[in-house]
Amino acid sequence: MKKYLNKQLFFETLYKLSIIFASLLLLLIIIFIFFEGVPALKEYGVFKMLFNMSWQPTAHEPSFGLSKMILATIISTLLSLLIAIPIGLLSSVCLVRLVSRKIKNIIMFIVEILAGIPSVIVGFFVLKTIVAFLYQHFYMNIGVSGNSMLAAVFVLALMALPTIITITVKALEAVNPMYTEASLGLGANKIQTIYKVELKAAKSGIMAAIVLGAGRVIGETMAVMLVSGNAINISSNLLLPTRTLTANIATEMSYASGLHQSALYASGIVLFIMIMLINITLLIILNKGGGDNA
Amino acid sequence: MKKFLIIVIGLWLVGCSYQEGLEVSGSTSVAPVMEKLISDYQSNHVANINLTADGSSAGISAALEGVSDIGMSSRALSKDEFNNDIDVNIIGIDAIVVVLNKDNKITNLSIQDLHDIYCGKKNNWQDFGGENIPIVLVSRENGSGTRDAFEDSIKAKDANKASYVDLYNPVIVNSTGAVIENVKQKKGAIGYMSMGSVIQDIKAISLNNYQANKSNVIKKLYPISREFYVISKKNNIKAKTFINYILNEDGQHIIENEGFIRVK
Repeated sequence: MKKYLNKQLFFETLYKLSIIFASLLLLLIIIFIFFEGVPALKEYGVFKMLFNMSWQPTAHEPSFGLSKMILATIISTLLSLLIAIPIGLLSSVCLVRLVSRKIKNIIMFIVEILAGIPSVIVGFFVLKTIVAFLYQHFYMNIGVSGNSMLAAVFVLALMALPTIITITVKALEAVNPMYTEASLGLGANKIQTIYKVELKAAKSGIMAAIVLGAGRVIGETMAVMLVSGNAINISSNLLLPTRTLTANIATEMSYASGLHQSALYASGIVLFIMIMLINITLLIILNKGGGDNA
Repeated sequence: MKKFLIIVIGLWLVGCSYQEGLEVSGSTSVAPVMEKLISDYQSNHVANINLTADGSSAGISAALEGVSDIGMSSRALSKDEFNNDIDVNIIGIDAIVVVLNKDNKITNLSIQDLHDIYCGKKNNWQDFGGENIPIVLVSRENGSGTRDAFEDSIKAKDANKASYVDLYNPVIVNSTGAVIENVKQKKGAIGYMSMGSVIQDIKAISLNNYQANKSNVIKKLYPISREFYVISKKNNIKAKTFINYILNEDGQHIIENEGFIRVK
């Protein structure tokens, strides 16, 4: 009996230590980026950093305005979701209700592989196809190099799609079959049932899918950096280059020193806060939807 | 097992005894060739050399304050920085070469042309006698030593040393490899890089009608070049031994192999 208790205690401690280790790691990362980023925020000013348009980190009188990059991050995320959400939702509905189980399994397998492809490879693919296509067709316009907001949006949509599909499929599968049967029994046809009953019942799961997709998109770095052109620029012309917060860090980190380096960590802090906001939204959605089926 | 322990402890002690190393820090442009020099030096000598690439200004001040034994710089020291306690040696010369796509018919540009191109005043190759194709600017990122030297030479900065290349929709990349890739793929592209990095697939052009070759660079006829400096305290013997190696045949040979111009 004593031996059993000892064993029990040992494994309980092991589990507790693991969870402490995992949360400590997150805490360490947070402390680290704040420790590195705060000098620039202090020296240059939080307000100026968030709203100034000019990023001149190596000038004599340097300026570290992140506003264009914050905007670029938000716009590229929204536009890519605008592509990924309809495609993701329609294909999820199709997978769950309109095709046979066998085909669904094959396609889900493919989607999961797509989710696992390293982002740098997706970026390289888009660089060689879409960026090259855009340059070939629009090179007569001044400033067009193919590397552009549009290409970045394509990459991000491609990255968000698998996340959105897998989670939406799970949400749709979790819909109580009684709802479906009742709807069909009342004389509604298949499509009516899907749109009027099932999608509504799975609403919170679908919202979670979208928010998780957004989280993936905001944090994406390598692929975006390859195709976006990285000029600090925000324009209504989607064929012109742009730079997101993540790309800003990755592009300039290698040779940055002093306050410039600190300002890059500060971009990390801004990004961190944006992702926190997304996660909080996710928590609220999931709590609200807790009583439903998803 | 005992034998193994003895070996491990022995190796550890050997490692400890060479903890007193040589600190080398500074210019990110000099660092890659310095890395080659260090590894060659270490294959023949027992030495523990640490290399940090944190920019010319940081390297110079580290050497002046004695934080580093050797500071690397890709620019000359200012009057304020120079004092009589230090030795400044030129270890090699680098030229920055302007590259175009192979299909571009242009073979020469002037410094003024480059200024007009990178400052957005002219944006079509037609303006320079080429085809009617808009120019695609390819630029290195903020903080790159190559970008800094290039923009200084073509006067693409304002009084505050801020560069406004970003305003003209450049493709900004953070490696020479990516500059090559962009210039190769885009027929209107123009980029720049160290002369040692140019490869067959792209076209290096002459500037002010001078090719970037050894004699033109040494005679200062080729307009965009810079010296690589090392700075050390006069009484630092360890640093002196290593700098002597760089300035001798073995070191200079490596500098030439890396595509730079030797000074001795």
